[in-house]
Amino acid sequence: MRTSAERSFARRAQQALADSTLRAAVRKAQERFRTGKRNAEAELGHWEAWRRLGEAIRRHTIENLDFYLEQLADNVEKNGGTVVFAATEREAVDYVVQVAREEGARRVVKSKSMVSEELHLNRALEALGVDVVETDLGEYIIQLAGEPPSHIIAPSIHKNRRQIAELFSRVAGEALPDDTPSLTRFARRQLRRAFLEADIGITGCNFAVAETGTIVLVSNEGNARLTTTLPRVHIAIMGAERIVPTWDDLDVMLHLLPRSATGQKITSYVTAISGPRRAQDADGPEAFHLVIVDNGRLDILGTAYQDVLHCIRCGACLNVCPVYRHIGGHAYGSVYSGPIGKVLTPLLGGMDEWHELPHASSLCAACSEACPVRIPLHELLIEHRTEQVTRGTRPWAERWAFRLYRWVVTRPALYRRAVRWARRLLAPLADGEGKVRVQIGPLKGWTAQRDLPLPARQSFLDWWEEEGRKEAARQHEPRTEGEGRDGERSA
Amino acid sequence: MANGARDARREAFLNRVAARLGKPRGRRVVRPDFGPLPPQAEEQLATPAARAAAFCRALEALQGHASRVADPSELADAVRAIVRRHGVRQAVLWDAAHPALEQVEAALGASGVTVRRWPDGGTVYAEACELGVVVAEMAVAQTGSVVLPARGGQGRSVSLLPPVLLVLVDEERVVGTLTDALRAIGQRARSGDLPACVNLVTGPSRSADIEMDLSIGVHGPGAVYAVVMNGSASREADGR
Ligand code: SF4
Repeated sequence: MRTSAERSFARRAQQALADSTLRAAVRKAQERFRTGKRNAEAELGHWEAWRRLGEAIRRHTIENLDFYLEQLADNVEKNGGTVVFAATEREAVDYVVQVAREEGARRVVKSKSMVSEELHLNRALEALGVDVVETDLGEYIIQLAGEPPSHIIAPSIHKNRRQIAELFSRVAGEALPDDTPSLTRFARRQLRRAFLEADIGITGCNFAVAETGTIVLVSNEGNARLTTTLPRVHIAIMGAERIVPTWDDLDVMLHLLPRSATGQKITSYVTAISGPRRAQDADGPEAFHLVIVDNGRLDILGTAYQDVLHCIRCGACLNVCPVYRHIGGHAYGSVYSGPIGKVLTPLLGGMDEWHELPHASSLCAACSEACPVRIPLHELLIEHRTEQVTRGTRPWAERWAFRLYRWVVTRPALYRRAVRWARRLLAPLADGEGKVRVQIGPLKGWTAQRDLPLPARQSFLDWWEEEGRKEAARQHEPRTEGEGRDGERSA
Repeated sequence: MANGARDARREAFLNRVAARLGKPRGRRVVRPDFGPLPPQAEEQLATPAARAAAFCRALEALQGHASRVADPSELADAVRAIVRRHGVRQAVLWDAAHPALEQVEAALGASGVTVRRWPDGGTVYAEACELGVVVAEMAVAQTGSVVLPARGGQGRSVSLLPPVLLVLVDEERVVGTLTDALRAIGQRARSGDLPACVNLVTGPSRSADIEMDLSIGVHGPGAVYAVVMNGSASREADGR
C-alpha cells in the first residue's frame, strides 16, 4: 500500500507544496478533467438519474457479492479460464509468480492496474528475473523514473515533457526532442517490441460481468488490447468488488465511467474478454487466468464503510478535491490518492499506519458530489475520525485539549471570559497584520502551514449584546410623525 | 496450484464474503428491476440513414474519418484514397464472408498493394502491414463506435497492429445508442454465442499522458476510417 519512504504525511505534503511544477501540472489536469466531466454530464442529460441507477446497481452487487463472485467464477471456467481466489497479497503474488515460472516467462507486459500496484507485483516478478514492462504511456514514464502513479487516470501528470524526454533519451541512448509526437512515436516503437516478445500479459479489470464470465477493460491507448492479444498467456487481476451482474449493468457503468474520468462518451477501446482464444482463433492468449483479490476488502463488508466498495475508480473525486489540487497524488504516500485514497487506504492498510489521511480534508464534500455512484466520501471521512476518537487513538494532547474545551464551552460565563482572554494572550505573538505566524508549542501544528488570525477585538456575543442594548434604547426614544420606517416606505 | 487447493480457497473466500454480509451461502439472488434508463437523444434516430449520418459525425468529432458510399465504385475510390494518403504497400484483411471485403481486396490489388487474409502470414505479417481492414458487426450512432467480435478469420490483430484501420459498416447495422449495442451483445452472449474477445473501437488510439497533450496513435491505429455502405452498395457488391 505504501509508495513513499517518507513516513510523515506533513513532510510529504510540504515537499509537494514546494514543487511549483507539480502544482501547476495538477491544477491543469484537474481543470481539464473537471470541465470535461461537466460537459459530458450535460451532453448525456439526466445525470442524477444515471448516478442513482449506478449507485443502486453497485449496492445490490456488493450486498450479494458472494453470489455474483460464484457466478462469475463458474462462467469464467465455463469459458475455459482458470479462476483463483487470493485472500492476501502473498497468495495473489505467489500465484502469478507460479504461472510465470511454469510458463518459463522471460518478459511480462502489463497494462495499467491499480490492484497490481497494491500487490507490489512487479517487484516479485523482477526478483524471479522476469523483465516487467508497464505499457500505458503514463505508467511507462513513471516506471522509467522509478516513481509510483500520482493519479488514478493520469499516472504521470506530475512530469513535464522535458523530464519525459530525459527519461526516454536515457533508454534511447541519444538525445530525443521533447515534442509530444516524437516522444509518443518513441514509446510506441519501444513498447511494440516489448509486446511482441512478451510471454505473459497482465491486466487489471474494470468490470467483470458475472452472467457471462467476461472481463471488461477500458483504455484509450490500446495497450490493454495488445496485452490481451499478443502474449500467449493472459492474467487478469481484479479486486473482489469489481463486478457487475449483467451486460445491462455494464451498460450503465460504461455511461458513468468514461464521462466521470475524462469527459469522454466512451473510451477508444472497450475490450470484453471471455476466456482464452477459441480453437478456431489464430490470435489471443492460449491460457487465461483470473485472480480475484481480497487483500483487506472483505473486512470492509458489513461495516459502516461498505459503500466504498462501490467505487469504479474513475478519479472524479481527485479532480474536484482542493487538498489534492495543492499536494498532488504522491503526498498521500499510498497507491490510492485523493478522497478515495483517504477513505480506502486506512481500511486496506490499517488505521495505525494511515491515521493522518482522514484528516487531510476540508470536508467540503465536493468529492461526494462528484462521485458517479454517489459514495458519501466525506461522511466516511468523518466516520474514520469519529472512530479514532472513540478508540482513543488520538494524541493525548489533542484529547486533553478537547476535554478542556468541553469544560469551558459548557460554562457560558467562563467561556466568555476565555474568549476575551484569547486575544490578550495571543496578541504579543501576532505581527503587524494581526496574524500569528510564529511556530511554537501547540500553535505549531497550525502555524507551520498557515497563519492564524487574532480573535476579533470584540467577541460576537459581546457585539450581539451591545447591539441589543442599542436597539432597546432606540425603541424607547419618542417618535415623531412622518419619521421612521413607515414614512420612508411611503415616500 | 492443485485443483483441490484452489477449490478450498474459493470455498473459504466465498464463505467469508457471505459471513461478513450476514447472509446464507448458496441462496438464489434475483437481480431487481432497477427501472428504465433515462431517455437519450439518439433513441430518436428513426431511420438507418439518420443513424449512419450521426455515426459519421460522432467519429469525425474524435479525429476519425467517416464517409458514406452508395456503390462499389465509390468504395474502391475510398480505398484508393487511403492507399495514396498513407503510402500503403501491404494490407491484412479479415477473412469473413462479406462481399465488400472482396471489393476492397480487388481495389487494393489494383493499386499494387500486397493483400493477405488473416491469419495468413500471422502476427509477423500483420505487424508489417500499413493497413488492416475489418467489417463492423454493429456501429453506434451515439458514440461513433464499431463492434468487432474476434472469431476465426476475424482476428484481433487486424484492427490493432497496423497503423491504419479501415472499418466497413453496413448502413443497416448502425444502431442508435451504446445501450442498443450492449443489449445485442449481451443477448447473444447469454445464448452461448460469446467470442473470446469483443472490441468496441471508437476512433483512433489516444493518450493525454504527456502534459495532458492529446497524442494520437500511441499503441493502436492512429488513423481510423469508417466507410458506411448503404443497402444498394452491399447488394451490388454481393452480385444480387
Ligand atoms: S470514489 Fe467515486 S469519484 Fe472517487 S474514484 Fe471512486 S467512483 Fe470515482
